[in-house]
Amino acid sequence: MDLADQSRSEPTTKVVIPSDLAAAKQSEEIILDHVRRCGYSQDATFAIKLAMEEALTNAIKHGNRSDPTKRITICYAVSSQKTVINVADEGGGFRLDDVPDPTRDENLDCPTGRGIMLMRAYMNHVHYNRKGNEVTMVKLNEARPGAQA
Amino acid sequence: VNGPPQTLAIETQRESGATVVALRGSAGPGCARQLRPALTDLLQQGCQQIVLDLADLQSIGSEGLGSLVAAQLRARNCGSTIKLLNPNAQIRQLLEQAGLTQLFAIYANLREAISA
Repeated sequence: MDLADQSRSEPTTKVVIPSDLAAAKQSEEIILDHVRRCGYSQDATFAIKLAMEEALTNAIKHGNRSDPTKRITICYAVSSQKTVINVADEGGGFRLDDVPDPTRDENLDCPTGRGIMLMRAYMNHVHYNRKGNEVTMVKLNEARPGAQA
Repeated sequence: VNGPPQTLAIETQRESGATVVALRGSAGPGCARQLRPALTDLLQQGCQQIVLDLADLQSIGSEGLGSLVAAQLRARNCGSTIKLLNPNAQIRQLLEQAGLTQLFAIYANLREAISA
């Protein structure tokens, strides 16, 4: 799915940050500020915060392996109807099918997969590109009539 | 989720034979550096019953959840247990989504958590 398709006429902002959790947190706060001003519920804001943290942490740690020469590109569009966030890293990607299901008993102590599971649980739509180094997430503002994924 | 970004604060006290660990703020990316050694230390000190008071925890992500899971599995191996107290509705739902209510007992009050 293309971010342009998701955001339609909403203006999209692009931010490029280093592979650094502090820089990620700054970007998260800017996006969350937009989200709050667009009247999303506390639960929806919590969901977007959680999903962004997971996507950016995955991009920094697993995608770019915290390589300071690599960058993370964040594209986002926030409207009163929906929030679309795209996070891309410069890593080699991964196969979604290779990620274990962290909710299965045998995988409880497995350190991977829980972040992706949470993103999927909390956002209305989560899509990875074929390479696995770019994720697009959509959250609808369900308090607003006419919100569509 | 309002206001500036929060960090994690960990405060430990003894209560009726249990160790109560209050987690405050946000257990987001990077929290494992604080949370894992704090819980590991308590287990190494021989704390048999650890109650994590989540009443003032605003959010927790996969890294925080992973730290709790690792600590609980370690606790089981040394005959201890970790219980959760008073998570807010969002965190309780998150624990359910992550399939962790099978691993952690969740209580609404401290007396009940300690006596169970």
